[in-house]
Amino acid sequence: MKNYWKRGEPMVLAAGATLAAILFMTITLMAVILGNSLGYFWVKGLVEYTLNDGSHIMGQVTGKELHALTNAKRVQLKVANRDIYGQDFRWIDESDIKGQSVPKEAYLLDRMEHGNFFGFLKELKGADGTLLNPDPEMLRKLSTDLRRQESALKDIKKKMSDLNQASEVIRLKIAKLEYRNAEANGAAIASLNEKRNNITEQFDLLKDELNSRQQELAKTTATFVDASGTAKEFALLDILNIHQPNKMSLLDKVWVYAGKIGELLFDDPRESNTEGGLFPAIFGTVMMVILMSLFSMPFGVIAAIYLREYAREGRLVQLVRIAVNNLAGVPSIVYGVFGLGFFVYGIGGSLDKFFFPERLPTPVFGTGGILWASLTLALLTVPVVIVATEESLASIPKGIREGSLALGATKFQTLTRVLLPMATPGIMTGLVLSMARAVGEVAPLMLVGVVKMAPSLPIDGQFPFFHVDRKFMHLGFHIYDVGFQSPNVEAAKPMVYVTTLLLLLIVIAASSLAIRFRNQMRRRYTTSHF
Amino acid sequence: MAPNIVDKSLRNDRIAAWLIKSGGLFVIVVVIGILLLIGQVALPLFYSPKAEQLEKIPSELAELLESDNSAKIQSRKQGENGKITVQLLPGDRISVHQQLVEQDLLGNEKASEKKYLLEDKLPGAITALWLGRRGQSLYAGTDNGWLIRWDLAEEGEGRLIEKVEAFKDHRKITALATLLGDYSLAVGDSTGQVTSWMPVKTPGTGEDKRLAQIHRLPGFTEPVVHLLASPRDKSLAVFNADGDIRIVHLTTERLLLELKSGMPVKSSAFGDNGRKLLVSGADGKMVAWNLDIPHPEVSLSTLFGKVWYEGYNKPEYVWQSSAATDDFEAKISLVPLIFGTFKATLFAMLFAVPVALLAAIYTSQFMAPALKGRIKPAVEIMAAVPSVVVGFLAGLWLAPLMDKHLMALFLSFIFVPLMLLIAILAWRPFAEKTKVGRGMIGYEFFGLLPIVALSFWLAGQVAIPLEAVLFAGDLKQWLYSSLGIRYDQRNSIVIAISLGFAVIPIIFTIAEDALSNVPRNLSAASLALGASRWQTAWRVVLPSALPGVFSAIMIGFGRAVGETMIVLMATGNTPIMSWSFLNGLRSLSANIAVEIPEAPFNGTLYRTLFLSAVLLFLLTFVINTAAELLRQRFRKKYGRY
Amino acid sequence: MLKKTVMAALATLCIATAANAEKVKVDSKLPTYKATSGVSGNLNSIGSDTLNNLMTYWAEGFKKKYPNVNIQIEGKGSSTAPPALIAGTAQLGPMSRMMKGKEIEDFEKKYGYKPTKVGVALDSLAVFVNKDNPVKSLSLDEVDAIFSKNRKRGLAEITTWGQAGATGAIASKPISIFGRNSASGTYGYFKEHTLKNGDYKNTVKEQPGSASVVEGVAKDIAAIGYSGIGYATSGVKALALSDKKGGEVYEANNANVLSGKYPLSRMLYIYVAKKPGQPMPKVAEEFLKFALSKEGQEIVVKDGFDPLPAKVAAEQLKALK
Repeated sequence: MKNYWKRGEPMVLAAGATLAAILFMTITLMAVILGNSLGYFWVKGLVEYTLNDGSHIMGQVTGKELHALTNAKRVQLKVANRDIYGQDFRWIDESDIKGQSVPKEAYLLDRMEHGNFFGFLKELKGADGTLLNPDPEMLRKLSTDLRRQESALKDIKKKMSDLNQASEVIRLKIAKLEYRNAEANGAAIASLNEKRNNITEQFDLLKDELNSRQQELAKTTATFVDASGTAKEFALLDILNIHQPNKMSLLDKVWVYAGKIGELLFDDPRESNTEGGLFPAIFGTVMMVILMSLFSMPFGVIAAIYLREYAREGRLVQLVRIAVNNLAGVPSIVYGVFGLGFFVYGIGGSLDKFFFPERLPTPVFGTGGILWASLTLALLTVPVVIVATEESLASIPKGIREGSLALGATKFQTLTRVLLPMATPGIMTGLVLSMARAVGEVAPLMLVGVVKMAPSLPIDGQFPFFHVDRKFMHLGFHIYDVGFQSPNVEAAKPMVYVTTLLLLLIVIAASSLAIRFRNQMRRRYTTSHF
Repeated sequence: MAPNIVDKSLRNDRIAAWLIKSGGLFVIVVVIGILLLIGQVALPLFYSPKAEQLEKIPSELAELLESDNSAKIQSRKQGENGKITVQLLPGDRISVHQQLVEQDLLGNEKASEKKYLLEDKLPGAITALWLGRRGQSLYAGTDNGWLIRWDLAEEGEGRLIEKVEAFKDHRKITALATLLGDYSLAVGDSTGQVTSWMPVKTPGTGEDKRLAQIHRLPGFTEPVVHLLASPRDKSLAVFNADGDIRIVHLTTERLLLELKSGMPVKSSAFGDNGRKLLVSGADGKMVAWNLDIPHPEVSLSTLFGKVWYEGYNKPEYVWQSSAATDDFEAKISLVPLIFGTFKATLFAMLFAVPVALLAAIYTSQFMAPALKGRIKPAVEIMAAVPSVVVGFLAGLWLAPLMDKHLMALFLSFIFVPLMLLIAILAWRPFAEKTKVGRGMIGYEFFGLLPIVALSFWLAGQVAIPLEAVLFAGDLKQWLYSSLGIRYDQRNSIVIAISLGFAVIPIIFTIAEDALSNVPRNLSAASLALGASRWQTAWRVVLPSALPGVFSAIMIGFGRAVGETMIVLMATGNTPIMSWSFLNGLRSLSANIAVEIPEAPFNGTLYRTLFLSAVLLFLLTFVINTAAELLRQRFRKKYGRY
Repeated sequence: MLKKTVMAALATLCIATAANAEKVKVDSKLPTYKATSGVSGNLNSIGSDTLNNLMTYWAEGFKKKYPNVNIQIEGKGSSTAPPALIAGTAQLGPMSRMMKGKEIEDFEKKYGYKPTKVGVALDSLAVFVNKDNPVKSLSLDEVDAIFSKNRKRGLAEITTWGQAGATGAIASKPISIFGRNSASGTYGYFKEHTLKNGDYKNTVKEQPGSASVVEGVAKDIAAIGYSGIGYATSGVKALALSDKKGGEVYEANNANVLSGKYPLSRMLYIYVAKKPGQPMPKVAEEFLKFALSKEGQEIVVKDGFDPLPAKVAAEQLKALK
């Protein structure tokens, strides 16, 4: 037994246990996120409670707990109907509940505004004001009809958007001409103005048409009542989805679930980002990380090569190495401030002065944007790449370098053909770490270009297609914003978990790719010493 | 080889060398540039004040002299639209005249008027009188060193609050003025001393607050004739009979400027919101200065020392930088923040370093190679968990959970090692005697994973009955009432775990790389000589890989010190100075993130925050430099291969 | 003592009625918004985080009227508004407090005229406690004694719930305090009005968002915190407040806010740079008109704030002329 301890076998096991603990933590984290997010899109059944005071209340059971002081049991109910009750959730003591039932006819509505509505259908009114038979089939038919008619309006919207872009382009042209010389270009300006007025007229015509058709559509209404009998009339157009959860089969629910995930991935957010999709945020995050890697990878690797292979080892290099290490320790928020001062106000401001003087004081590049955000994050992550690359270069035995040089290869050839391939796994580690850090860094981004709501993506069909000056949305900021600042935090929290999951998936996907790549490299290039 | 190919590759080599050098230098320049920029923003905090005499005195400045309001009749605005006037009548009686206007939310006004006399018996003759700027209190100083304070805040009623024997030597009080914010009273006397007084509660007594001397400001050797408070900050102009002026600052007790007007000053005023000072002599001659006092409230003692702030009962280290109003005394002690940074980093590293290093050793040395290819990416993915996610979960999931199951957490500190010990002891016969056990070599941690999970579960199960028996069902309550320890929902354990979670994979990955890169022939030799696998790992591999392991720890350390979002979201950002792991903290980095949106560009707070960034940098600099030097020694000692 | 009991009973009554009350209705005299032509272009808003959601809601509503207006919204704190207006990076500067003297001064230095402030909604700050906390009402004096280090309102320090009037198991529990970070206008407002410009205790857990304050309070039985009333969830309870200890307590409902009886209510503003006598950019003007219209004020209600009465809204619109 003594020998057992002396040989350190228990230490091996203890070391194994720490690894187990780390994995346990990781698994817990994933479990928490998955557990809290996956259920969000599942259509839960509606329960109706009759309380002791005779009132009725209907909702989805979302939680159970004991009263912190009296240990009485109670349930948390999502009652929805925010426009009527003010709050989505309610705690009910179990002692207050007299009876409960599962009403088959209950509806769950996804609305454009105010979140869900739980209630019963009472009345249906057609566009001409006639009362229709209030049954589920009729409701569904009307709703699909309306959706179809509404999608016919897309053409008009597309035209309007084109006109508006044209008008904006002309406005900028005019501004440029006016800035250069308003008098000399008078004729050109006048003709442009006329053109613009034309466009505006067309635009207004289209808008009127759109409005009148939309108003026509909005005339079809449905009246629902909640559990306590309060009636509410909606334009059917404002109801996105209609479900009767207590009647739905499992397959129906799975179908709806899939549909909602699709909506999450490809739709724009609604209701101050607490509902709808996350597409702009996903897009912004991915694009920002890619842009960042484009900046940080080459520079980081070059700097590391310089430090390790080209610079003469001495005081200076030593100092620089310390400086780089230190840079990794500078808090990210400081980079944010640096980015704001140097990139946004400094470089961006001068770009504006040279290229867009006519638009001042409204800045083009002189305000936060995806380019500046990427550059700032590139700075932030460069040290990670440098350190990782250096480490992996350092770990290549001297003999290999000398062998290559002895065979007559130049230094550069040695570097590209021998050293870099061997160091690639390490470089990839650096890239993975830097990307992970970049995706999760929110603090500096808040200063240099992330916004809660960005109206347009950094890439679109408008010339020059790639708008690096635009502000963007970011999943990490979305988490911070919705989780910490949203007024209806109870209802929004599942959304935060969903966003978290999505962000994690993106990071994991990116990391896995890099890791896979690295492992392949390692297999191909690692030499065996033994 | 054809000569042209050689030429070409040589040319390529030269071009590449040049490119790489310039690229590398560029990155280095950027690095240094950032450091310089941060430093350069913080530097003006310590610029010394300057004053420049104005050639010509603008007329709007001259008009200000009229409103100089420290004579026998003084009037002030009271409330939003009211006005109060006091007049010193012969026989040391004081008349008070109040005009009040009330306004409701929708803008309707109601006016009224009140008049009364203050006729309290005083210990001496009044030699200085000062009505507070908000018209709430009235101060008087006497010829024998007494200070008297009235409260005029109530409508139509003045109340004598106290008479204080301010100076035991009964010197004459010659000038009074309240500083911006109307809380501190500056007192100038016949010995030339300037002191500041404010109401302070004497500890241990239930009495009202009484005026007490707080700061001694740099004064003169001859009597002070007049005091003038700046409308911009807590600074004060002190005049003597010869017309020498000293501008001093309350909080820092700094002598900011010394000016000479060269004549006895009759009246004086600050103009341009405290950026200009104008004085006039008896003959109507006027002298004015442009004052350039960039950051009067900053000195090394306010940044790093204990300061007795307005409204406090003793000198303290305080960080509370901003308020909705301009007359706020900024409290910018960096000490609690530095403390918080150290505390967070220390707890996180205590948790992360052993765990990450042991796990790295296990992964690189003992784990079956086939498994290693899968486990390492798993941990790396953990590194990829964005800090905002960790922070969010720590703040909104872990903290409330721990709040609920504190006992279980404490128990698991005992249970996990205990269960592991049992497992380790039970392992040996299992590993040596059974076939499965022998097959488990390199896969041991798989067996341990359920044990870790099991012990957490067990701790959770035992906790509730144990808490009920030992602590009457409420451990936190017991801690508070029996030991006086406060439990905060956002505490340092949460930080240690969440920050540790962020740091572990970084240390792990880099350390594992370093350990794996130690040539196999070293460990093979060691094993061949009869050393056990642990002995080989601990005595041979680890020392050879020490430089890499060291830099792993350092990078982890850097991340822990600078990590912003996790600390921001998971702590309460409470600037308290207590080592208790059940309390929260406020770190330098989170403080920057929390405060910088509020900080006016290039203002004191803004620069102070940059200064704290410089401090953070210096902190890492010192440690990194030490680490680098150590690393080189290790490299020499163990020589790499 | 008797007085206090009566007060408490009254408060209970208030809460009971408030819970059953219908949601706030906007003033029917408010003008409905009429869309005009020629509104296009970009609009940037930088400022208060209290107003962040409201601005986003308004932007969503406004975009429905003008599908091709681009609105970007950033909300990191009221103090970010003045620099953004001065730098021209934003046309709208939502703020949950009035500009400080220094900020106006800086603005004037750049533009030569003062910024125009437009009140757009009323916000009542609520003091929240956990839903299971038996305390129903507090006076601001007591709140000050809980939150403040130097207690300018003069009461002795309150550290446990028993001292704040609670009985039962919670009485001996120490109060756990949540608050906002200093960049938020809410922090400054609460400091000025409740703490009388005193300092917060070091143990106030400064949270980077109001939702996080509410979450913290919801998960901690002994917690207290403040934020806008719009952030209330089912896990917390807004206390009825009185100014002085022993005074009459008022619920944070619309009527009490409008009558000024609820002691912690304030106006929320949008600041704009408008040269006197000249019209401002059409997009910005229409946006403000929209915000002050019936639709806009309905959105205010949706976000949990209190709408302006028609008279006040009309007055605010005058500032745009």
